[in-house]
Amino acid sequence: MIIRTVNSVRPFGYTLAAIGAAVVAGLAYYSHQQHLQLSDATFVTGWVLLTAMVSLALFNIRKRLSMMPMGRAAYWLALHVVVGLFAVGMFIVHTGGIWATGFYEQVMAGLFWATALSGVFGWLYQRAMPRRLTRIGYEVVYERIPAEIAALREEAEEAALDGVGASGEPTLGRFYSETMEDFFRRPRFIMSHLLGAGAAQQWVDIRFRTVRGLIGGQEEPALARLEAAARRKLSIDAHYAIQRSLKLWVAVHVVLSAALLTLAVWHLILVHVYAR
Amino acid sequence: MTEDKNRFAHDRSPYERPNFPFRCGREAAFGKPCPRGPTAGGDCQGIADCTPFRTRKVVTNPDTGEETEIQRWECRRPAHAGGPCAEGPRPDGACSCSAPPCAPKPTIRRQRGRWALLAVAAMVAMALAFVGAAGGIIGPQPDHEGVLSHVGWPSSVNPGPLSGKHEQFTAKDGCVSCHVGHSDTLTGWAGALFERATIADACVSCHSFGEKQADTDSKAASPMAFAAHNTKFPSRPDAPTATCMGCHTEHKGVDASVTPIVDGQCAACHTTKFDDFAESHPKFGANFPHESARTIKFPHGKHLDTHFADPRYADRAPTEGCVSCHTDQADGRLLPGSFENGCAACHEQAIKEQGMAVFGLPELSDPELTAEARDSCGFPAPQLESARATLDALAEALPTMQSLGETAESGDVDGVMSAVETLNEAQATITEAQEEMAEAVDMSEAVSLDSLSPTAAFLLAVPAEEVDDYSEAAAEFLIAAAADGAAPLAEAIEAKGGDATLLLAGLSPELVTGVTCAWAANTEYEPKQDPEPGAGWTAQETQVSYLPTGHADAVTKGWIALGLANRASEDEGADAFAELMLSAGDGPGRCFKCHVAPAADAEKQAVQWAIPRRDIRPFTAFNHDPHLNVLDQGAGCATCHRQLEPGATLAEGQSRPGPHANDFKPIDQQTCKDCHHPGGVRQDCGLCHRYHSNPSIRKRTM
Repeated sequence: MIIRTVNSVRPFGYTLAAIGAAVVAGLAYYSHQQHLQLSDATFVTGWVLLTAMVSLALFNIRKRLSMMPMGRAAYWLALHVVVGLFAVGMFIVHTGGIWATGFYEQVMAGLFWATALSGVFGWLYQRAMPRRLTRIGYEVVYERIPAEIAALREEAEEAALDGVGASGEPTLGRFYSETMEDFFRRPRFIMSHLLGAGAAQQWVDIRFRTVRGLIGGQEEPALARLEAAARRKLSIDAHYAIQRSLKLWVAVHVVLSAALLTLAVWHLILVHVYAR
Repeated sequence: MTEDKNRFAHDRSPYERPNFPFRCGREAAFGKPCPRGPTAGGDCQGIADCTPFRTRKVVTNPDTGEETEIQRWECRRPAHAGGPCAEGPRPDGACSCSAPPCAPKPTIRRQRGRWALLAVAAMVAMALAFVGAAGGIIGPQPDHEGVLSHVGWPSSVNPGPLSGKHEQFTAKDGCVSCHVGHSDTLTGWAGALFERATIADACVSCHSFGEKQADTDSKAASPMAFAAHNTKFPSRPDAPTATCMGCHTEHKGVDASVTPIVDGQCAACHTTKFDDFAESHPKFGANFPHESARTIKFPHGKHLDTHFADPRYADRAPTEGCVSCHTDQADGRLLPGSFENGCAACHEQAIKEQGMAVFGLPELSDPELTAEARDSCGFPAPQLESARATLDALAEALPTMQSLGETAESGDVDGVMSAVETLNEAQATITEAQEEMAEAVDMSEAVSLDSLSPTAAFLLAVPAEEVDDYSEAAAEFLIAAAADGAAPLAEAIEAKGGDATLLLAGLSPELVTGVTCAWAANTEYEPKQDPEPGAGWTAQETQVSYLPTGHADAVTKGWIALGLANRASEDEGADAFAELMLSAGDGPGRCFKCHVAPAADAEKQAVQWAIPRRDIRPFTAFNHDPHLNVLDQGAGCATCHRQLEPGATLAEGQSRPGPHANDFKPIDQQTCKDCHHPGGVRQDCGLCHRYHSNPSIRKRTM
């Protein structure tokens, strides 16, 4: 049995990229030749660009219709990336540059580049972040993270209470309530996790190293359970930070795309009305 | 703590999907979520752990066989929430495990959709709001003169600022100045998607390119028919159809060029294609730029080397080189200055002295014809005093003669003697007067010309030399001239197709009559004062002449035009008349010492008097200004314009287009290439060539 991997998409992507580059080059040549022939190819290139942008938006539709057999998402993503890069090339061919002079066209150009750059950023980000998630060594669905945190919080509280009960000393209880309770309340150290820094890890290490010198042997098992919960919380926090950033990036990309498409339609109407 | 790999099994955790629109409010606060989660509409379902299900079961009594329906409420709490609760549903079917409700929160996906809709709405709002830059919601409002200033106002229909001049002229009417669609209704906007672009018509409603029809002829086709450079070349139907938008772009900024032409666009039509002036531009013509015949013959070498070298005229020599006479034009050409500023100092007087004898009075073969001509004039001036003395003597003697009979009958001898003495005195006076009258006009020798003037012979259509042939016509003309002054002359000119009003402008009828009658009396006409150069119409002796009032004299030009019009005429005397008008000797033909007469076989027999101010090379635009700024304004001209050495001949292949070409060598293309080459000064087509032949702004636009 042959198991297809993500890498099997690469030839498809490279082929698409080659076709896209050839089409851009061909249309650039066509546009230049039309210009030399005292004609205007901007209507042709504009319609091609608009078609490309609309087809890019279809990727979002594809995700909504996951129940339909429309090919693997990986192929759609490759298509989306290549058409996106194609659209960048077509934008330059269509406008003859990278910027515009009029107010609304500047807004549109700004939206286009913001969308394109967010797309490129997201493509690279999507390729980098899953490796980071794998290195965490723990898997959790983003939507279940709150429940996971709630469960860990319960377990941490239980461990702290067990420690107090076993020793009769309030040390572990105070440690939890004064130091760790807020940590378990919600995801912490978001930026540190996002950047791959070790601030959260260090914070936990210091706290547990400190409290370990203040407790007796009866409290040790409870402290170990508490520390295990804290370290699991670190993993979940990292998942939360990275997965949330991925979702927020998509949100930014989609919102920019919607605004861009709206102005593109407006632009389409104007160029036909004002061509006479 | 060991990770439970199976903790997300369907019976141990709720079913979570990222496409759910809402999530539990407790979960959003990182608390423990309720087992059921919110509805798709965002309502909390967490007030009860489950919705109990009522079961119906029919039980049959084995003994009686009676069937009984048993209904029960069953707990349906999901397994991941702990499974059916111990308490079970209440009798009324309500769940016994209740909790306070939460406020479900939208998921990121849901929020993303809302933000996207907001973005779309914002763009639509922006587009509609700033449409008003032409006087709508947001944007400039018209001032008291109805003028809007769009500068600085954002617009959702304006793709960029107009170039400076277009911005000014569209300030009042705005976009509709060029875009008729701007004033369309919404239906018109929709229809525009399927209509052909016609914006070029708006361009040519203001811009013209030398065509006349579109402005004056309502039946003319689209003005575009006259707009383009390639319409000048009907032999190239294969050339691309040019529209304004093909080369011109707008809305690129106030300072942006609206004609960013590239060389490749020229190659779209030109069959000789090249991309480098220095390397492959076609060679200049053999006589470039002297292909066209001059309208003025000005021998530069003779003036510079001979005339201005003469100490008598050295003070008139140009002191600033070529630009002393050649003046800078707005289009960069250097044209010779006016006659008044350059030539008049030496040539004005000679022009005023180049008289033209229009008609002279000839000897007539038949004395009766001469007498007939004399009869029209009465006594000539020298005989008037004698005639008046005779009449006075007769008048004085008449009463004596009338009373002489009565005196004799009365026997008054003294009276008779006195009357006889009076009559004798009168007779002596009359005899003396007759002698004086006879002496006043010497009829023994005729005062007249041996032949007709060429002009008179042409106008009368008779041979100038044969007295027998012209006598009758000349006498008839002279009799009429004596009676009616210039009228018969005007009639003869009109008969030849001339404009008598122009050609005889300023000619006094008395002058014609005086000369004619002087001739009839066999005397010479004596003007009150000798004619000065430039006096206009004058008469002397037996001729009526014209002395030009100065350069560009209209009467002289009119006579020359008449000569040209009859150059090929078969009429008697036409050749001699044309020769007089056109030959560079004395008379009007002297004009052609400097001006160029049309060739005898030229289709248009008219003199191009002035140097054409219009560019004779409509598609070539050499701008002298930058060259003169680099080169010395005096001697620098000779860098390109090199005089022929005295006696030098042109190289093989080079020929003068006519006898009137100037005395300069053709421009050497290498001179241009010395500066215009890759890495040097720019060498694109648009630097020296133009697309439009005669661009201008229509008057109605201004």
